[in-house]
Amino acid sequence: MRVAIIGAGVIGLSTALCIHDRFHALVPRLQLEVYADRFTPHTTSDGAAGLWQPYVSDHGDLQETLWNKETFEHLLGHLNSPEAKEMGLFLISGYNLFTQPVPDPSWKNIVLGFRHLTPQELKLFPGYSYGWFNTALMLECRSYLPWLTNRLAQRGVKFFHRKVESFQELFTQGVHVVVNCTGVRAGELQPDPALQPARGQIIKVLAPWVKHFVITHNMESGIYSSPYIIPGSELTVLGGIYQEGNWSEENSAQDHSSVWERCCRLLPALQKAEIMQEWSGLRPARPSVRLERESIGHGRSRGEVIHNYGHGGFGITIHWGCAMAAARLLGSILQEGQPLS
Amino acid sequence: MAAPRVAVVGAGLIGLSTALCITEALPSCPITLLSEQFSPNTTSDVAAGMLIPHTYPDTPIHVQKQWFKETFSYLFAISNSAEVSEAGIHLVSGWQVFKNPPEDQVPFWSDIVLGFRPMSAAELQKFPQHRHGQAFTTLKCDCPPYLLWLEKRLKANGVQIHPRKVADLWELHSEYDIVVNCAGIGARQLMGDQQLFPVRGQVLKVHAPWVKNFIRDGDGSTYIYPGIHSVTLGGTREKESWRLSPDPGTTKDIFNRCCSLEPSLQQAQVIGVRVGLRPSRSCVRLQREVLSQGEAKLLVVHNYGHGAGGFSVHRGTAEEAARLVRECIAALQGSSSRAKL
Repeated sequence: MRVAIIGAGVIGLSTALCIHDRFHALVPRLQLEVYADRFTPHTTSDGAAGLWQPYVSDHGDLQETLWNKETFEHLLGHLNSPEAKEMGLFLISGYNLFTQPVPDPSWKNIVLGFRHLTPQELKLFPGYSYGWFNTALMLECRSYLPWLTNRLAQRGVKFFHRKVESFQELFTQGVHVVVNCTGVRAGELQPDPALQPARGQIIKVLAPWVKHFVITHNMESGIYSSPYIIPGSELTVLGGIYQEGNWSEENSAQDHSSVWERCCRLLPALQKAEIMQEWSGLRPARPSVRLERESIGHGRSRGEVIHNYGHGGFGITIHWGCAMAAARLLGSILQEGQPLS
Repeated sequence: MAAPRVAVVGAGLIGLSTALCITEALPSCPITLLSEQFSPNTTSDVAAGMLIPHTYPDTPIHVQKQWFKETFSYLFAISNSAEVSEAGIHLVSGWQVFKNPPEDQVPFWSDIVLGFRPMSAAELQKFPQHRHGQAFTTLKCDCPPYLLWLEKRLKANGVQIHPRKVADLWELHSEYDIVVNCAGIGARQLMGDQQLFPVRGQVLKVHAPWVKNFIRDGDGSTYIYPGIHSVTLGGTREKESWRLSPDPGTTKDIFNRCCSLEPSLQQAQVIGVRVGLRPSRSCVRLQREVLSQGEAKLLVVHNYGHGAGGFSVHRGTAEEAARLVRECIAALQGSSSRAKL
């Protein structure tokens, strides 16, 4: 029973691990394979800062809120384990800032110690009149993806460094189920007008005195278009770019200036920070995550596809909940005795 | 009468900050700072520099609160500026956890630090051996950077800084009119003050940049304080011990105690072990004294005995010392005009 996962970002690798955890003892002939043309550190996930935080408004999507919660709790369970450092997992506290009062987010009871900012705290951030403080988690993919890869390799999962051109290509080779974790380029395998790149550009600086994340919000211009500062284990990420429809992965001088100036205004001490790296990436934006089964093809090139893509700027935040949901879909496929050989 | 010549003895946190307050209050006064030790070899360099007050049994609480408030406000204002990274000052959030219910549910300083509140049950789950806790955000002064920054400010104000071991304050009477005694633990020998005693503290400096929050056991013996370039793990409180060399058994014990609070520290690399002798006293000696031999007089302002709480009150006591210096000057001018009659 061959299950092929396409995509080796956080979604692909975690889905593979979740499937292996759940089924390897129950389905002795289960053979997992991961196909990707980009592996860590070259995936979209590697560029993300790694902060667990959903968008401030969930548009009433309870399913996604539940997946976020499952992910947080799964990670929290690993926090005190000896593996946490290798996973790139640690606690971090910080600020969300607004220019006007906003309703509390759906995740206020998922994170730790959520509260509103006091007037004294708001003095730290001139121009912002309202905000939240909470403790959340960081999961740095430059560590997490290698950790997932090692676990998968130890369990005999095979990796193939190549670009898959179609689902049929894999079915013809004898794969029974494909798990489609292709992120922003899912449209190349199957057109999906709902999926759009949402380009981001970040600057990584050396600013080890910054111990909190600071995320500002502009309710008019939208998520991640307003400056944010996220300290990682080595470097601090400065960002604030969200450009829907822009496929460029080249760094733009204009975006660099925009991020630099706005973040330095937010935290003047950053002017003294040394710039170490710059990166652009394409968030796989979609009105909602596509997580569903589909039967594809005909004759010899027929099989089941489980789609798991479109996680926008919250892939790390939601990944484990989605991995479990994808594993459940595989469970129902196995249950049905599908697919035909 | 010529401007009175002021000497400050001691170049730890108290000496440097007191000299700075004096020169800010009395810019035309020539000030000389004399010390046997300078950063990085002062007691202050060993301390983590956390603004979490300790209580002096014999100082009225409202006075301690005032000192803390002045210190916190002063550092808070700098923390908002571009200088903050050079000064080594940074905000840090975290938790103080207790195995038994704390004596002080609402400590006197709780409304001065930011966002003070009891920890939630969910937050306490990270600390299975502890049943109660307090969460807040405070400031940390990393040394040597903070001390070096103070030295730089002093030099910019024309304060002369000379290495010199002062064996007896009286030896300064011909060169100076007022001596400000910030000798810390050195005051035991310098003044023969039997009420001053060392409380030995050993700490580890480790490389663990993923630790972004502080954790302190309410018993005061075990703490994890993340700084700019290292994390301080502590500690010990050994009364009347003058041993300055680190003890390897103690190192292991501190490491184990801290790992039980924060398991990821198992992966931390130890980069240094240091010992400091807290200059402890039931109350800070902050008062004037007149030394005299025959007709000759030397006006002294004492500012020592800050024990474990130096960083938390340093600016407040420095300001008070500067006021006492003003009184000394008024006394000198008074007696000098009397001499003219």
